[in-house]
Amino acid sequence: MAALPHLPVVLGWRQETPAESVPFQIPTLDAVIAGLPRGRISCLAGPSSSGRTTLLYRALAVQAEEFKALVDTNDCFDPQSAEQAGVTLQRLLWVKCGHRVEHALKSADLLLHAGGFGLIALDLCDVPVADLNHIPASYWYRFQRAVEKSSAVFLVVANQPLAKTAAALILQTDRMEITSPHVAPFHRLHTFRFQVVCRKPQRNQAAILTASLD
Amino acid sequence: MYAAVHLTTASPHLFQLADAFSPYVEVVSADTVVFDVSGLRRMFGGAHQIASEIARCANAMGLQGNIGVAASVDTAILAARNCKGVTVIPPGEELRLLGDLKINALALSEEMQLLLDRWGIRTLADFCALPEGGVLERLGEEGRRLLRIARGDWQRPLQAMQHRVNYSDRIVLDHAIQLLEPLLFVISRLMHDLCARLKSNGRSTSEITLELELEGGGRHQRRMQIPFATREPMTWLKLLQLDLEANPPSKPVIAVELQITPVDPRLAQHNLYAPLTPQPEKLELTIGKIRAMVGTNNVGFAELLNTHRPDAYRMQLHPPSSAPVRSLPQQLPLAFRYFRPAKEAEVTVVKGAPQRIQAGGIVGAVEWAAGPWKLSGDWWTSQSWARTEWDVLLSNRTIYRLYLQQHRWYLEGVYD
Repeated sequence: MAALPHLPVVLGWRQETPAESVPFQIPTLDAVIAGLPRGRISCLAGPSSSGRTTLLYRALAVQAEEFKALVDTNDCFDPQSAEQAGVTLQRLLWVKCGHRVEHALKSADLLLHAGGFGLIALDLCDVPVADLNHIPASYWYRFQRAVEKSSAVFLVVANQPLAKTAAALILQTDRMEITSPHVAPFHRLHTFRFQVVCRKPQRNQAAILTASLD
Repeated sequence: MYAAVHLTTASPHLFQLADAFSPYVEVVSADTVVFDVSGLRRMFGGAHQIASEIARCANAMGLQGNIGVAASVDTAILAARNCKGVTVIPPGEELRLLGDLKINALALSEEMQLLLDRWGIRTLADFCALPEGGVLERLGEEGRRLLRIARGDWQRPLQAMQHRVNYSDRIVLDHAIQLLEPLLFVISRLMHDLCARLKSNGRSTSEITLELELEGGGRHQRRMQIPFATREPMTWLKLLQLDLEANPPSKPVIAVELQITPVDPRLAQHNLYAPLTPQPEKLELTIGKIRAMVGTNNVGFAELLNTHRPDAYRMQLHPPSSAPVRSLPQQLPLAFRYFRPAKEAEVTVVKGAPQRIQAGGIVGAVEWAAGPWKLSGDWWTSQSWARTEWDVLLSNRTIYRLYLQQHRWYLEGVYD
């Protein structure tokens, strides 16, 4: 019986320590989740026009004094709207992968092993499902092992949740409505409401967020 | 202990004479040098023997002048400039041996010389008789310094002249090298030698130039610049390897020349509470590896251009040394994602507004549209642009930005 306390160590089980989180600094969302955990994989999933990129840019904007990296698989990043969201472009390393998923995964791996980044985002949005299915599951465990040795946030953004069991946090975004003030002769997109649901760990509450084009 | 040599006429060989005795040489003027001879005691003996040896060498080189040896730099210079032949001043004997010198032997300003003359101070002994506090009060800090020089107790470090170090090396090969690995082996040897040279001189580098001479004529030159100074040979070797993998020489290499530009070493004050930043060496290596994979222009730090032209930015290879921290906006702004390149679209227009869109795999009826927004700019340059924009919500529940340019429709991206 005296040997029992050492059994987890022998079997290689590790004590899970609660990770420090980086809040989005959006009160309605911070009320639902503590933020993006450091040293863990977080997933942000949702269809096009569901607010996932708005949340990604927000994640890149908070903790502005830290260095961050964005691995952009489909070369979609818009520096102008990112700067409007508060992203410090001088501290954001942008990697354009030219629609090559393999390059994106390797770049993310190199950045994770380089260390010193506060957040590394892997943008796999709008990548064809066939390409996503070809990503070996071992990649996510490799990322998990690499990120847990650092204090970085590793955020994967895609149309569907990836890195399911390797991810510590999965957020699902969905568009709710758009509003536009009808001012003759033009009317324009004014505000955009979307909801964020925490799928892992499961929360019953959803955060309703509003983004503006002004 | 210091020795000063003052020549009757300036000679270019004066520095050679001093350099033969000590690596620490201060060139005071064209006809005077002073150098550290404290390490020569075991080689030549006492101060008199060292002074004799210097005089013998000076005669052999055909130099005519005076030699002064003293415990301080300025006393040695004073003796060499004002005493004929060889003068050795033991510590504490300065006033006795130099006291008879005229007061203008010191480098006095015209105003100070006039004042001392008015006080009746004619020699160094007269000057040394004055109380230090009184001199400081009346002649200031400079007066006190001159008084201490006259007394022989003014100690200042030697301002030794830096030697010119050659920071380039070249190897001519017996046999031409075709493969990268053996070439890197040769470059590694040069790099380690040059980095050791940098280290021994307290310097560092942020720029290297590699020149490869190719078989049958021609040269292949690679120049690398990084935003920080380092003298770590392995960092430079890895960067060179990545660069040569991306840009290999077209022919076998018969000679390698490596040149580095020395700069002052990087000074960094580490801070326990400083925010997380990547180590510059690691960041540069990581960027180099990613650059080799995705292309040079596809990695970097985006910088917005001062124009209203959409998607106007340029990539900076290195992060700027300082960046202002931006504050978060009060209201969450809606983000945009570009299609690069923009998707050419077939648009059905009814009453001036888009009704149906087909672009690549995106097909749908327009449920809601905002526009048209007529935009133009840069008409005063060769890069003028003009277009008409629409924001459209398609039946697939996605909001796109659509624009018409030169009678063609394009989907530029999606609001997300």
